[in-house]
Amino acid sequence: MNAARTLHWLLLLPSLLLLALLLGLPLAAMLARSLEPNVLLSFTGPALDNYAYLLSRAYYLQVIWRTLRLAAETMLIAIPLGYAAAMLLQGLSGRAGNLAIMGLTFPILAGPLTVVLGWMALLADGGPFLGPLVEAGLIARPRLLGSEAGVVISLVQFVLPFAVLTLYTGLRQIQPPMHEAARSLGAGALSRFWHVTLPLSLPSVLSAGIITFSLAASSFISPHYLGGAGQLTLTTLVSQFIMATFNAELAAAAAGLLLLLMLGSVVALTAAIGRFIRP
Amino acid sequence: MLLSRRHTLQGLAALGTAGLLARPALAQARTLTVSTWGGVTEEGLKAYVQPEFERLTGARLAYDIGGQGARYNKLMAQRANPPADVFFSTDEAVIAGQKAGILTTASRRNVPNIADIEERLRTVKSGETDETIAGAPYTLIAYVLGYNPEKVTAPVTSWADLWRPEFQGKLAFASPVHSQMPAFVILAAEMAGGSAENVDPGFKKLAELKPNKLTVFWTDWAPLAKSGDVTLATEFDYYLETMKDQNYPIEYVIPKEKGIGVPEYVSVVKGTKNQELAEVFLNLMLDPKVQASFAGSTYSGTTNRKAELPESVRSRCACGARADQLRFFDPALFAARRPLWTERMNLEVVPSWQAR
Amino acid sequence: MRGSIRALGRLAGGLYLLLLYLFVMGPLLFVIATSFNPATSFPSRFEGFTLSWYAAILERPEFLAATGTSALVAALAAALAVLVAFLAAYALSRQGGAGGRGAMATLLASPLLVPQVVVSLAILQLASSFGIGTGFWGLVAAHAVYVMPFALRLILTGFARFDFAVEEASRSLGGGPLATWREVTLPLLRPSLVAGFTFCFILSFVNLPLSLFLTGPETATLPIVMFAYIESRIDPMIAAVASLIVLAAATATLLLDRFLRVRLVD
Repeated sequence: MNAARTLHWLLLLPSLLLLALLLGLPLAAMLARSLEPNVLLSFTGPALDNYAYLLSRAYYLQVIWRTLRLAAETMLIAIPLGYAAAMLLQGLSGRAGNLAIMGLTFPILAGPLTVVLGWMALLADGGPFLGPLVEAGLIARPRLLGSEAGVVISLVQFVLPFAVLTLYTGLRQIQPPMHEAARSLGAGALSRFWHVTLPLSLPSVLSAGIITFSLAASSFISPHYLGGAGQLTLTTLVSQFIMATFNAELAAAAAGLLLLLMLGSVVALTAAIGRFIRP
Repeated sequence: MLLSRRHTLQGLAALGTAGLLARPALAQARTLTVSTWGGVTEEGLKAYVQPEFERLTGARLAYDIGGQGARYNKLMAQRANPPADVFFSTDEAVIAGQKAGILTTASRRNVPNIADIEERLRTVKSGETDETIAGAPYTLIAYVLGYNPEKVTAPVTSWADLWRPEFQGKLAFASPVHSQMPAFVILAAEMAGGSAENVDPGFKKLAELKPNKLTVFWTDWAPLAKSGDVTLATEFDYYLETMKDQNYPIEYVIPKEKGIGVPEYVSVVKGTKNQELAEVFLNLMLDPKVQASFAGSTYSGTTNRKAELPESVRSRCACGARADQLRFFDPALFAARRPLWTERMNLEVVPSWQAR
Repeated sequence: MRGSIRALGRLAGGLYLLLLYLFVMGPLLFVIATSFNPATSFPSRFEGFTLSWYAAILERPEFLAATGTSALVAALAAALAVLVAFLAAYALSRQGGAGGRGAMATLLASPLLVPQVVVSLAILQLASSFGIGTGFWGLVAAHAVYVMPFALRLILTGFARFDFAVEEASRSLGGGPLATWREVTLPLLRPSLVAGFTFCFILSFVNLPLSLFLTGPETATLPIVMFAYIESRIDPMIAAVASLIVLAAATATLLLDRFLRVRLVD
């Protein structure tokens, strides 16, 4: 028993060590810094004034709310879209399936910067995609660029491959005998999905949810290039503090808030989906 | 041979082994690390400065590229062991950097070209003594108004045109984090009866704008200019010239109240182990031939009176006489006010921009 | 009747996938098309066909060097991440649902929740306060930590359907622990491991915020070089770089599939 415990911790050691060194220490330093005065706010630290300041300004509350909303919308759109795709892709196998799945990752590999340039062209009212449609009077000016809808569209596109990949891997590992058993018991396709496939795939749904939510909430390039005038998210706000006014203290406080919110969201998500996961 | 081997190894460069392979051979050759912008600045340095620098000193140049903010933070974080020897930035950042203890002065004697630099372009006063200079103001660029000539109804001539109704919702405007944001706070304040010391009317006036894009780089809004979603923009003259060359539907004008003149500096990083090499580099950046080459390829203005330019270039950069059409704000004032003014832009101005 | 319904369903499914792929690929396809367009402004109508933007890359060796650096950093970071994630997932899964497992999994996923720009700066500050540079391996380690949660998630999902009884069986047949891992555990988890590595590689390859403060003259990654370039230039050369990366990724996918049978799909 003791040997098993030792082995357990030995296996966890490398990841915990990396985490402590490159996350724990910097994070502690960051949180300590967030309690200090800065170019904007003078007080005797350590104190919570930076947090109080951010939380007492409607503008910053809006930024926080926008960040969570964008991330949640992205997740809620990407998961069902990705789930359906992952189910359909199960039908493929071997080389075709592999290519289909890997193909999905190409836009990510090309880099968010280039893909966002593509979106800037495709989403612009006068761009080469929407422009002719607008000129021909087929659609009203959609005003997607610089709107939240435009940001969500590009975020969904960015996280979808991750959702598909996660869900695909999860669905793949549900043993075929389960389906066979259900089928032999006379269950219809819909009932098989509802009672067998879906419940068994919930762990990967949870994974995909957490991944898409975090990726969307921490994205930088989409909101920067496609968002409207001054429509900051917490990540763009944090980098503003750091890059423009070198206010690492306020940036640390904003980052601390983001951390707290993300933690809360993940715990909530885990609890919400976890209830339905059978051990 | 040595260089080409380094070159092929560059993909692996970072890998310790590659570094070890190359290191003994390069033991004598010193390296000056230049903290600068990527793109046009880096290209110009490689083409016009590096060969001459290597010929003069036998040392090589390495480039740490990135935005000014990121590079400034790198210096701040690594004061004890600075990651670069010279630093490219706006004049304002030179003042901030001196104050923060990350930038230092250069010897006047070792940068003799400074004597030929236009006096009014040496906007950084702190650090200037009989023996020292604050840094090398190697170029002058102008922040002006760019517009789509096919879309404007009447000529654009003045900063006041920013408020013209036809441009609302079609305007690309300097973001609150843009280096020239403080200039607009002052300009708007003056238009509304205030001044640099009384900026409240300025923030109110700016809040009346309706930009549809806040910009940091010209590349943020160039695609929108092309698609017609932006018809008026605040931008640097040399980028607008580049846009013209690249066939964007753009013309520009230096507003009649005067454009905003921005001298850009290269200065020495405090704690550098290569002070003399750094000074050679600074002097090269002030060399009339180097400046003329930069101006010819990127339209960035010359600061050396002796720089000789063909008329085709002179008319397209902030060189010589164009400086008369520019206003030079006090970078020390910008540095002192920026934190508060950025915050006021975010809290008082940007929210009204969003409600469109 | 039944057959035609099934055919209809298949058609609908195919159509759905087609639309989804168009959506995911759309902006990339546009960018790739742009890389062959001689027009200098972006975006432009198509004015012909040229390869000059590809030729332009050759004059910018830093792009090639940065692509190499990024690929190397991504491969090392992904390998490290998958290794430590596998060990951790193994420990956590063997333990079963017993107390602390959820908390530990959340802890190990925590890098997902942290804003990377701030952490990148904090790592640099910390390292310099100890008088050490971060260097190449610092960059790799930082990337590894922040992509590790993705590998962990996928591998944990893999273990969720893994029956530890097969390990017992192998051992009772006389296999040592390492042999059991090599012959039994790893092969069964291969899809998760391959997917995890792929995820981590991609995320590291395109990461900008984490690299922002941790790169130097010798370790500039592709996103750093691209971002610096696009601050002062926007032309189809960037599109050409992206197209080449996609071409390389497609080639790698095919080669891995054909010669090493490394697939996300078995």
